[in-house]
Amino acid sequence: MTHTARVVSGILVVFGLSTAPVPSTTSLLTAVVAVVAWIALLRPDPRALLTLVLPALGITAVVCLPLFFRDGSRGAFILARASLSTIAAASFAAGLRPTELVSALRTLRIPAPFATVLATMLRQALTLREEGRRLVLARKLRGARGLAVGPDVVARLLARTAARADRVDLAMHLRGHGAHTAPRAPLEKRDVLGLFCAVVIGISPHLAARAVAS
Amino acid sequence: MHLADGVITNPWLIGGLSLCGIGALSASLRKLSQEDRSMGFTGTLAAFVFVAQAINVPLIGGASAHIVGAGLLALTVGTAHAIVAMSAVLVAQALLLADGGISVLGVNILNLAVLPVLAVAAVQRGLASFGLAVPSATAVLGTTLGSLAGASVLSLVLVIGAGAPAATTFPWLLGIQGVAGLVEGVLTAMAVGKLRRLAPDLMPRFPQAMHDSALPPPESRARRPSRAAVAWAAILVVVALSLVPLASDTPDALEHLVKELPGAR
Repeated sequence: MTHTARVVSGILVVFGLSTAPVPSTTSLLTAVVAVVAWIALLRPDPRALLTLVLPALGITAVVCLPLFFRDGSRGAFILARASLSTIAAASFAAGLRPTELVSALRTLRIPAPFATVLATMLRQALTLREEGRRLVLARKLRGARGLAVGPDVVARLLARTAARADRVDLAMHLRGHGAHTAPRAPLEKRDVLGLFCAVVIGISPHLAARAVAS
Repeated sequence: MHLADGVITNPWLIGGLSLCGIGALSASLRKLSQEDRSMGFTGTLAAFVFVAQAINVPLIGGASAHIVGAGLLALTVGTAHAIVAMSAVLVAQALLLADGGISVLGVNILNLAVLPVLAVAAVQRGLASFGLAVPSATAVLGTTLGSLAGASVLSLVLVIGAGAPAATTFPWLLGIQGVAGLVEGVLTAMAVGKLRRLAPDLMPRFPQAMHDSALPPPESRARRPSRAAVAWAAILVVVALSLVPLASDTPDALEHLVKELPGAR
């Protein structure tokens, strides 16, 4: 699949799973099967998937905790639905590269200035991360520990980032780069099957709930 | 705190809040497009936020905290840059890290980008209207209020959209986010303090200490409380008032002891 088809499929699957009717055991079980099928289709790296899923599930559990105080079973259904949606989103995120994301979003007509912000952010993030690591190491080698490290490194990193941002801005102006620089990745005929599978996976919990209700 | 997919499904609630968040983002983008600076400048700042959130500061009891970046950006490069940069980070987190829902991205942009930045900007203007320019107090108060504002919206969303009980949801989320906001505010204030020495041109709204000739005469200075003291007093009052709902009704040790004394029954 092209990058755009991958992003569109991911969004369709997540939307479908996140709106599955609750409380409905049939819908929930169908959603579980749908997520397994989605993971089998994408085949993400298991380690990358776990790295993304576990922290996200933790935060979701904290946010959903109050739901258990009124109606425990409904709270459990909502938490299960949210968890399955998160796993589906993580599956498609695990195999998506930053450059692919930006070109896909440009194809989906997000405003060009925002696409430029995203593209620059993802391009500069690795460099700044290395700079941050070097700053932390330098502080620690000079004997700083605990609270003395964090704010100092953040302040120095922001000062360096602002200077770098000015240089990036100047370089973009000099090269005539405006907002319309991120290339697009249009959908192709080979994406039809993948999109069809994503639609089926996304609406399967809804169809199952309707079939049981009727 | 990011809202995940599947927690709420009410289309009017999601749509309405998303409209507010994305509307603020659009307004910020429009304002930035009128400036000389390209979007590459804002994108590089967004990369800083992305990286800064990974720098953990160890606290007591094995816990650690990290700076979110909304307050820091609002104090240095302004509201529009801060909102666009934070929104870009949230979009990347949702689509690349599955951190935060895709269907509720607009709600997360409102809670985690727009409200925290606007809170810091509002506190800055509020203090400036009283003639106060205290970056550390602005950082602590603004970041805490921004966290509480975001938590309030999130609680409202859970109560209306997911049927959570208000009596439990509001204290739970406001408590967590209040403490997190306070810690982040302190970290931001410390970072801002160092930034004023390292790169004062990044903080034009908070000029360095004035020369002696600009200070008022010693007699009048002795009578008036310092600006920093007034600002810190305001912060402590706000923090105390926000913690009042969490106060426990159970008797403390002294009250319990008094009740147990013979003759007290």
